[in-house]
Amino acid sequence: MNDSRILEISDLKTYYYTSRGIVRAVDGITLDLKKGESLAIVGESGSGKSTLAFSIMRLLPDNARIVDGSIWLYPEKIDLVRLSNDEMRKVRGRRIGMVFQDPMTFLNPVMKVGDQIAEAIMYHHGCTQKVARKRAVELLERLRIPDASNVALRYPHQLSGGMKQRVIIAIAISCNPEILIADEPTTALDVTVQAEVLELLRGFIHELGMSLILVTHDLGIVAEICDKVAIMYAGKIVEIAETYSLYKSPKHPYTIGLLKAVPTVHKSSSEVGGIKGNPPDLVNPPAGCRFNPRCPYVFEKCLGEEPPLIRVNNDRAVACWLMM
Amino acid sequence: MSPLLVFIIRRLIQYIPMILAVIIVTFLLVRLAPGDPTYILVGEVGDESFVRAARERLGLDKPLYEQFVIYISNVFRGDLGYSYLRSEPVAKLIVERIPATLLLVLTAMFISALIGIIAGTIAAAKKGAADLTLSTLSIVGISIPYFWLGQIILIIFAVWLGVFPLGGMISVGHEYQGLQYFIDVIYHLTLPAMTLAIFNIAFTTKITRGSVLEALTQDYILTARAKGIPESRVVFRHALRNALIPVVTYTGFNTGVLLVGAILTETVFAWPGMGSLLYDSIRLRDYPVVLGIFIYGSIIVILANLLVDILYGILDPRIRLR
Repeated sequence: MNDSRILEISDLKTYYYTSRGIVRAVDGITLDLKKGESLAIVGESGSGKSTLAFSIMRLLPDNARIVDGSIWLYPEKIDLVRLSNDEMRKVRGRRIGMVFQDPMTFLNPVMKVGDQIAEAIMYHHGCTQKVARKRAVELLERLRIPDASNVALRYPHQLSGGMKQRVIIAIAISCNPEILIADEPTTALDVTVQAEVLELLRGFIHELGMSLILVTHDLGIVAEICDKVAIMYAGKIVEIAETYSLYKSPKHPYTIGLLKAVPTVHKSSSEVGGIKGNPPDLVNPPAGCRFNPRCPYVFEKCLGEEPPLIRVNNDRAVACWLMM
Repeated sequence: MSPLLVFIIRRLIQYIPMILAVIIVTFLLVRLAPGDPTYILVGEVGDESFVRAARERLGLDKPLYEQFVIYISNVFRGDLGYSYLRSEPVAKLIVERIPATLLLVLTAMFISALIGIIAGTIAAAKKGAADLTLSTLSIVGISIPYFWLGQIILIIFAVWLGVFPLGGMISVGHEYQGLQYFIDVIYHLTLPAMTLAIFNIAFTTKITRGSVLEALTQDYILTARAKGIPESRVVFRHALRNALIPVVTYTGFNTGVLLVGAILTETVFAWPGMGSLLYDSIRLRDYPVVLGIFIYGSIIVILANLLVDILYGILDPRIRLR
């Protein structure tokens, strides 16, 4: 079982140093990802899920730092946290690709899209620009872009949002990385385009045997492509489980609330529940369980002591005193 | 017609009223300045009738508006008039001097763009000590006035060290040809070009630094970094390429400032360009020459701005020239 592991995150802590104080955006996360597995990281904005994704890529802003923990990349078991910048550069793009949120702002406006795709190929495979450009066109074709050789010569502003997102995907997978991290890949897209892009992503990860880490707040898209879901709240994982069983029987009160907040055809909008209150301030998180101010089942223990993430059965771990 | 050509023609038509405005304002400004060219011509103690004759000859006896109408109509016929003092056509005087000025200004512009852009980019990308040093130097560079800097450079390099000539554009007494002539001009050009460039290097460094810093915060930089390409490529190919537009704007806008700087620099280094001609002509109230130089100067500035507009279209594919 452990042989098929490709990424292992252990007790990772990433903090932002701001004028207000230290923001503990990722505060002790432990996770692992198997080969070919798709893992969703779900949470509200401010839960630290994007920070976790950018920590893996080591693409954090200047005021953020990984203060503790390890990110092991298999099979060599190298710790990404401790790699030099140069070594990390060789991991980025080649072994871990990243799909970003907003196709409008994540492409360089003054560079032809074909060249933006070719760049990574040139550097990681050491091939000529001509070869890399040809490969870029092939990638666009595989992403079902009509007239790909022509599109490769266009600038981002000449393409639609969906096309641009495909270019971003093409950049991320251009060097056949083993792991793909997608940070809200469809949030900025029209609903009709969302489905298409998701379908493409799913097709690619299966075809190329990639592992996927999908960061999202949208539980709807999670069900479509992910095997496993980790729910994040205030910098911590509160529940992690197989997708099907998580949807079927959520255990953590936060997960329950989150699932209730998803409208379905069977519920009228008045029946859609939300979770009262707001996510806590991560400069000064509440003592004990961080969800306690919003939790409907709160009792004394929750206020004093922080619940650890405990495996409750084969495919599930929960951090809640109710489960103990 | 190609869109670029249409664009250029349309712009040139738009510039006509601008040039007209320049002529009106400078005509009035020059006349508002105290002093009278007739006394310079005939001397302070000249006979009244002498003075009157000179005024008539120069047309200065007519009312100002009449002089203005005559001047404007001549200008549109391509006639900038005669110099009061040098009895040569103004256009000829200026055209003779333009190459020297352009050589000086374009050299300074090239040097400052090259050094300023590289220094500014390094300051933005490296941060820390490199940034502090370069930023401090650029503040110093911006604060130094041309005329003072010119004299100091002259004293150090020409007087004390004696490695560069005191002034002029070519060595007098030698009839250099070809490559030797070229080298001789470069030798004379070095100090004035350096003087003129320093402010610009400093300013370009500051502008580039700010612009690159801003570009480095953009989302597409994350995409570039996520590809695993070298950081130098992220900075130069992705950030700088996007940061160049404000730098180009500044460079174009600054042509006027450089021309002003050239007046002072040419005067200090006895460089035979429009600047030293202008300085002399203002001093001697040679109105037609002063006006002629302002007209030529504004045309140069306008053309530089046209060039900037065309460059935008090349630098940023999102901008369509209209």
